[in-house]
Amino acid sequence: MVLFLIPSLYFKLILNDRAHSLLINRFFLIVEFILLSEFFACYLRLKAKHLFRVVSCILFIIFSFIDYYNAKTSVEFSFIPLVVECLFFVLVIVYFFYEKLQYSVSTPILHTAEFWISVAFLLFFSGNFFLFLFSKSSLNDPGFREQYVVIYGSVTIIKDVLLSVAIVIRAYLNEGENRLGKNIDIDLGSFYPLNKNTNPKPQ
Amino acid sequence: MIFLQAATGASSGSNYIMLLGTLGMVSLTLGIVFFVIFHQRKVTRFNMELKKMEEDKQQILLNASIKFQEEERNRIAADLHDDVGPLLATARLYLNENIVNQEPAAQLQSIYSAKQIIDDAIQLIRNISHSMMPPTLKNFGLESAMSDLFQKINGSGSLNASVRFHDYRTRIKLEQELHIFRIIQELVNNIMKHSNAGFIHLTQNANATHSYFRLHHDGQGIIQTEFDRLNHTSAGLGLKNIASRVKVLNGRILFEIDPSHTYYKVTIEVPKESVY
Repeated sequence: MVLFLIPSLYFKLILNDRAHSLLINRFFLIVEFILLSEFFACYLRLKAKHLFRVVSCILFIIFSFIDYYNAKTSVEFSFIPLVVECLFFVLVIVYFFYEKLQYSVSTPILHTAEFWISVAFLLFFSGNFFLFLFSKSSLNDPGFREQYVVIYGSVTIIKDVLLSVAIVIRAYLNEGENRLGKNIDIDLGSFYPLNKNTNPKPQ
Repeated sequence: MIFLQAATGASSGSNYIMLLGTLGMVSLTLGIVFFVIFHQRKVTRFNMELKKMEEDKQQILLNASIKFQEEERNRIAADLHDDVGPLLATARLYLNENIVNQEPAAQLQSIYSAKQIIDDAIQLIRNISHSMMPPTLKNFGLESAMSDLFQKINGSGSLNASVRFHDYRTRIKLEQELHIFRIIQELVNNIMKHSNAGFIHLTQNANATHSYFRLHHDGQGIIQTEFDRLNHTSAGLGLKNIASRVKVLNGRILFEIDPSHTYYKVTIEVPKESVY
């Protein structure tokens, strides 16, 4: 994040170079998209999930650069790739929940880190979807900017809190696994496996 | 409140749409999340109930099996104690110490009587042994054992019993044969005791993977729902024993009535290669 933030601020605030700042923003967005796609691909059961992930990443990269070439000369910041990203991940996460409903698992869903991570991103993306959708037309409106700060800040805080919950749950589960995985030093005596079939054969 | 304040400050109508849209999306998201949580809880609860029911059923079957074994042991113990024990004791009386002081003719008579009694005891022990493992089954297979059983029933004159094995060229494992024999024996016993049937007919068929044994009778029988119901109650020990034997065989049993309601059918399906 720092790797993207420092050059972006440098280009935007010091050099006042909008095009390069936008380019770095696009790179950040693409990396975010790829990482999240990779994360959800790990947890989805869809057979063609890897193909779907690769195709969606390639399409998103192409779309982001097309948008960049269209927007770099424009005065306003383009939010369209952000909207597309929001919509894409909202759909992916809803599908993830659909799969969770289909496959009943013994572990309660609240006890899994991936559930809390998914809820965090679902709230983040669904909360920001309309914000990004209306940003291009209304960003110069001071009332909208106020709303933007409040909504974006709120959903980001909620997302971070939920991600923290996921980390805590993950740590708790790891601790439980370690506790269970400890060697039990009990002498079980000599063990002889049973013969496969000791029954007399039919005549 | 803070959203509304922000919205009040905004002059444009699109800000309201954006605000409402955001609230709608967040509400929808929360709705989906809560639905997933509650649905999973419901499914988990349902699975747990199903598991408990299965465990209860296993417990009933296990209890029935233990009870059946105990009854069998009691029967054998009673046979040995009441029949064989007195016979051997009588034989011992004939062969007591005084036999040497007796006349040769009386000695011979005592020895002959003791021999008769020992023969009876041997016959009794043989009968007990045969009821535990029929020698025909062990030596000649299921087809012969079933024919033997049905011949005995036929010989009693109370019931017309017949057997027809269509495809039993190779014998299956002895343990499987014994289970099938016991199942059919129990079914036949039930038919004779409760159904007031005029005939019983056993047929055997097979395909590449399974063997099928079907009993027909014209008495008062039961259908599958009744069999399942009896299996879940504490009554019907013999039926539970049948169910546990079928389970051991990895097979299935089906109780049916003919559409014309003239006879009942019991079909046992057993895989040819049962996994032990």
